[in-house]
Formats: sequence, structure tokens, C-alpha cells
Amino acid sequence: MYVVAQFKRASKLFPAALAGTVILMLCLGALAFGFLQADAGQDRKQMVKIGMVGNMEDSYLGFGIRALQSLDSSRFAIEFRQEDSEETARRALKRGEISAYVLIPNGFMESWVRGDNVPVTYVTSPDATGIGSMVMEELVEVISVLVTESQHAIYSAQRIWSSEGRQDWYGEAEERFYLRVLDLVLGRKGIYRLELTGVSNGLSITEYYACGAAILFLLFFGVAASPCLASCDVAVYRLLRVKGLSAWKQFLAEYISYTVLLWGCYLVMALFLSHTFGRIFCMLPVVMLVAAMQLCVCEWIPGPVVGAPVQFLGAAGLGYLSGCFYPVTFFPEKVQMAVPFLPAGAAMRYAGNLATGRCVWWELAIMGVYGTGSFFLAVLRRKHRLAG
Amino acid sequence: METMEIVDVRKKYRRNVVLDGVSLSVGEGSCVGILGGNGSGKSTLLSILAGVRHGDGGKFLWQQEDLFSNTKLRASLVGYVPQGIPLLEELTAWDNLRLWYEKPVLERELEDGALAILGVKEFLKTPVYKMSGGMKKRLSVGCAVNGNPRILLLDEPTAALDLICRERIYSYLREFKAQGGRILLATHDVQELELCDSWYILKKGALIPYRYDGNVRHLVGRL
Repeated sequence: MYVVAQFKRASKLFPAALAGTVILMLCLGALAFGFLQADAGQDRKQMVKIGMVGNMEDSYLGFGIRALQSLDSSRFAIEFRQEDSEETARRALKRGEISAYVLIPNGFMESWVRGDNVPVTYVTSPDATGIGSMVMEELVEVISVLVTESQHAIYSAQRIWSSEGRQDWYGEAEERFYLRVLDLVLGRKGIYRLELTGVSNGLSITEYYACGAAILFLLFFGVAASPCLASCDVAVYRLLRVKGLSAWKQFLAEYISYTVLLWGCYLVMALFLSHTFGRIFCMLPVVMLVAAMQLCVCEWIPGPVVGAPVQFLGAAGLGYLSGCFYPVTFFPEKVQMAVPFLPAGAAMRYAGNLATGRCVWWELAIMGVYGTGSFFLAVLRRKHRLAG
Repeated sequence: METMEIVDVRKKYRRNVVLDGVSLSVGEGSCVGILGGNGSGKSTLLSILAGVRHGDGGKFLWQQEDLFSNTKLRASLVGYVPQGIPLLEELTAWDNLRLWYEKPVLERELEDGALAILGVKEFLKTPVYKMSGGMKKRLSVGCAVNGNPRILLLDEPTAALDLICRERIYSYLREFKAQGGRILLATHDVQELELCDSWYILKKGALIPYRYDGNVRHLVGRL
């Protein structure tokens, strides 16, 4: 009967808790949007840094880059920097030190001279695809200049040969020129290849923030709901124990009902995030973990006056450190290493791995440890309160 | 005849001795009033007898069976109304009662049992947070008397209640006594004292028998 009673309590709390959490999320969303807008304004004033990976010793290529950096109008917007290797460049990209890097294959210039199209790989993250299109525009510009100048060269050669009376030369030479230019124009799409690295674990930025929003929703739900659930007079618990309902049975009943409530609310949230039913079902371990942690906090800090702020700070802190607000790649390397071992960090990785179809056992194990630990800590506290 | 005895119950909080070998017996159909100043240990004594707190020693005997060790028997024999309100605030009176009663028993009790005397039916669908103090107390007593207990432990059951609510509870307690029940009542209230058949003052951890004759000034002098 205690489980039924707890379900009834939970169902009565459902609308208020959901509304409270949605309002909280909207406020946080508006705040984040405001900050991002301010940041975007700052970004526009900054130069875009692009790493160059490849043999820059090549005189033509080196000259080209130096010319771009000192003479071209793009020097006010783009700063090129030499990277030692692709690995160094990839790390710099993850840390956000550069917006993209260009991978120039060996013998690139020779291939250009021959008229072969060996592609240059342009690597960027999805949040910098705007830079990608900018660079692509630059490349198209380069091609058009190349074609136009080639045509000028062909016509100039024709005129020189005509004036020299060597018309017999340009039949074969002109044909070779035309073929080269045609080869370049037709194959211009092959001169670069765009590769997106993903913000974290290969997730697109939309997927990443959908996972972040889901985890944040669950974390912040505790602020609105769990203090109310745990604000029961300790006399009830004591009398229930006298009647044979031990501390762990009481807590289990509360845990089951709260988990179902939390999952129900997540279901509503998931509809906005366009999650599939399978995905919603697979998020149950995260819901179970968050429910155990929130009830544990309520058990140790009963009452909403202190409990709700603690829940809020806990949710915001864990959410921030676990990359729900920003991708973890923005954090120092040591923090990044610790994130997978944080409960919300493991939950974020779990949600991300679910989206990309990767293995989730490790994350499940970490969440299991935290969930079980929280559960037993809460039962321990309940026992202590009953004994008081 | 069934016997109920409390023998040498002891309790101390760190160095503070609250109950120093408390002993008494309660006869069938009688009510024993425990008097004492604030912090004298009345609530502690009742909560230990109810099993809510653990004592440091002593026995709670029913027919020579120690209820401290036989918790199942104690749960079936003892009803306890603490000072606080042991109710789930968000739920209605019905939902709270369902925690303690089987549905057919509850329906029967509401018709012509203890719950009918307490008048719980009047606010059966009201959530606890919307109830008055009197309603909550009547409901608490109603929850405590589930399973027809033989012993009732009441900790200031009518404190701060109006006359109508008090009368409802007193009616039930008189009925309970008439049916052979035993009541142990911790109180400060003169009206409640008049309900009792014998009185004890709890002072410095010991129970001192007292003869209450309506002289409150004399009683105050002894506390």
C-alpha cells in the first residue's frame, strides 16, 4: 500500500514539478541564448584561425600562404598557422584553439602543375561549418581566377605564335592547354574534401545538445520535485517501521514511484527533443541514476528550504562539468579526463553513445555504481533518521 | 485477566538520564495519565513503548510476553499517536487511512467503528494539507487505532484543539476504555486529566504516583 500511496503522491506532484522544471529550463535556455548571442558578437570581431598540415617547405605553396597572409584581403579575417602533424592539429581543433585545419597532401603542388586533382582535406567541427563554407567560397574564387587566367594565357600564346608565324605550333599546344583547363574545371569539386569531426564522440551539434538538454532536464527536475517528495514527517516513517515496513522497503517504494514520475516527465520532454521510443526506453538507466541521486540528496538534506538550492547547485555544477552546457572539449585536458567518471558525465556519454550506436557498457557500469551507491547511502540515512 | 506492565525502562541521551528505571502497570479498561514538565521524558517514554525509539533497557510486558522483543505482537496490540502529525500531506484522509487499513475493514470502521466515532467520514476526500488541526488529529488517532489495538499510547492528543474536536476524541477514548482497552496518556491538559483513572508525575527520570483532585495549583507545584 505504501507504494500505491507514493504513486498517488507522485501523480499529484507531476503537473507542478513538470511545469516548474520547464520554466526553469526556459529561464536557463534564455540565459544561455543571451550569453551565446553576446559571444557570437565577440566571435565576429575575432580572426578565424586555420591550421595548416603538410609540407610547407614547398616554395610555391609557402609563397602562396605567405602571400595570403600578407597581401590578400582575407588576412584580416583568417590567420593561418603551421601545425606539426595532423594529430596536433586535431587536438588544437578539439581545444578550440583553431576553427579548422587544412590537410595538404605530399606533392600537392606538383600535382597541380601536372593538372591532377589531389584533394586537400579541410577538417572542421560542426559548430564551425560557417568557416567551412567561407573557405570553400575562397577555393571556388581561386578556381575561377585560375580558369580565367589560363584562358588569358592561351589567347596570349595564340597571339604570340600568330605574330611569330608559327601557327603550326598552337594546334597541338592549344589542345593540350584546353584539356588541362577543362580537366581542372570539371574536376574542381575534387580539389577539396570536407570532413566533420563532431563535437564529442562523433555527435552532431544538434544531437549533442539534445542529449545535454535531456540530462539537464532530469537533473533540474529534482529542484522542483524531490524536496516535496521527501518533505514527509519523519513520524510517518517511524510508525511505518513499527508496523513492519523497514527503512529500505520504505525507500524502495519511494524510489520506484519517483523513478516512474521522472520517467513520465522525461517522456513529455523527449517529445520536444524528437527522441524515438527506443531511445526513450534506453534512457531508463539515466532516469534511475538521477532519481537515486536526487532522493539521496533529499534524504540527507530534508526539506525544500536547503534541499532545493542544493539540488539546483548540484544539477548546475554536474551539468556544467559534464558538458551539458558546452562540449567537454572546451575544458582543460585534466577535467576532460575526469568527466566520464562523473555521474552526469557518464550519463552524457551514455546518451551520446546511444545516439551513435556505440557500446554503452562502461557508462552503464559507472552509472550503476553511482546509482547503487546513492540508493544505499539514502537507505543508511533513513535508518539513521528512524533510529534518531 | 490480561496484564500490562512496564518494568524498569531506561533511557539516556549521552549523559542526560531521561528515564531512570520507569515501572508501572495499567489495568484493563483504565487510563493512566503521565504528567511532567517540558522535556521531562513523557514523549520519550511513549515512543519507546511504541517502538519508535529504542530504550537502553527494561521490559514492556503483555501477559508476561516482552513486547520489546516481540515486535509483531506489539504492532498488533499497540496504537500510538505521536505529538506530530504522522500523515502524508498530499493525500486525502481516505488514502492515509488505506495505508493502515484493509479496504473492507476501513469501510466497516467508517460506518460503525472507531472512525465513525471520530467523525472521519466528514472529511474523507479532503487532502491533509487542507485540513484543520482538529481534523488532522482525529485522522491521526484514526490511523493509530487500526487493527483494534488493546493498548493506546497518546502523546498530548488534544493539544490546541477546539472543544468539538476534543469531544470527538474523548468520546472515542471513553468507548475504548469501556471495551477494556488500556490508555497511557501524556498530557498537560486538565480536561484530559479528568479522563484518567490514575496519574503519575515523571520527574528526573522517575515516575511518582500522584492523586489528582482537580487542584491544578497543587499539581503545578509538584511538577
